[in-house]
Amino acid sequence: MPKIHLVALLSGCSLLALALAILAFFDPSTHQLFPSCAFHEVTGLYCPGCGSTRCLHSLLNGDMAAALGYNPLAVLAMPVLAAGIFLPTEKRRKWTGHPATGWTMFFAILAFGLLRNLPAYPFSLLAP
Amino acid sequence: MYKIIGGDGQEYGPVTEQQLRQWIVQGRANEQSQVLREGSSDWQPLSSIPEFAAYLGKPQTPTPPPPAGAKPQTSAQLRPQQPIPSAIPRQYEPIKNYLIPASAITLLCCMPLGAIAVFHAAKVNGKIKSGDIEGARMSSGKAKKWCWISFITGVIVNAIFILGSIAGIAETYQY
Repeated sequence: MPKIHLVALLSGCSLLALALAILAFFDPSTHQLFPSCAFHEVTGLYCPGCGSTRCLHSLLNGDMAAALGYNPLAVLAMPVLAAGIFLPTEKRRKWTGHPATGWTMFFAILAFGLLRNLPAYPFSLLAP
Repeated sequence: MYKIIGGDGQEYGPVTEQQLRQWIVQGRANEQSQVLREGSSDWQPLSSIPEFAAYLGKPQTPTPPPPAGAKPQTSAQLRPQQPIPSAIPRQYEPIKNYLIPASAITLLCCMPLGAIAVFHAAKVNGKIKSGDIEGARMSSGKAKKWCWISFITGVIVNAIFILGSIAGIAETYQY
């Protein structure tokens, strides 16, 4: 691995670790440190990513129930994203390159984004 | 239908033209891969078959010299023992679909625009599968573009909001 890549990788990883540590320690719902979703502030609607900061905070603190409450799709997507990053190259290509993976992801995001904005009962569970 | 010699020296196939195109895109076959067209008795390099020229013609990286051990063909009757497919040295970058970054941006950065990137990422996969390599490259480019657009928008917008909330905190503690 070229030296410059290693430096970039290491600094990237330490930045990420720092961000996760801050996120784990401070609760976004009580601290104003974290940005709220701009899309929500402007439109009043929930986007597919709304609640993911609080969701990550809950996950990092082992509170699965709260995490699912804030953003169930982000929780479900975690293993997918992790697989897409950490699997060995061949497997990863085969898996993320499958048409079903792509379309499932797209329609899941689309449906989730629409459904969580419905004010009726079973759907309101999806809102953060 | 075509047969092809792999990097391990083994014979693969017969496979369809579409499958072979997919292997080219995946970097499993390159212009030096020896191919036997059905009905023909001569093994020939992939680059000499016009049907595949379009797929080989656009290397995304400068073509490195032929892999060590590759010899110019002397007799067409001799089955060439060249290091090629399955484990061949990759000469062509496989087409990236940007599915993972697109999904991560959409879900974690709160950027609904990212959904457009996910859409194009999903199209890349389908197009590679159906052998539409040009289309796949185009969708890949669009997926990449929308990843960047939504990521940069996200960074800018969030930075503004963070500044805003810092100002808010400062104001709170003044009293």
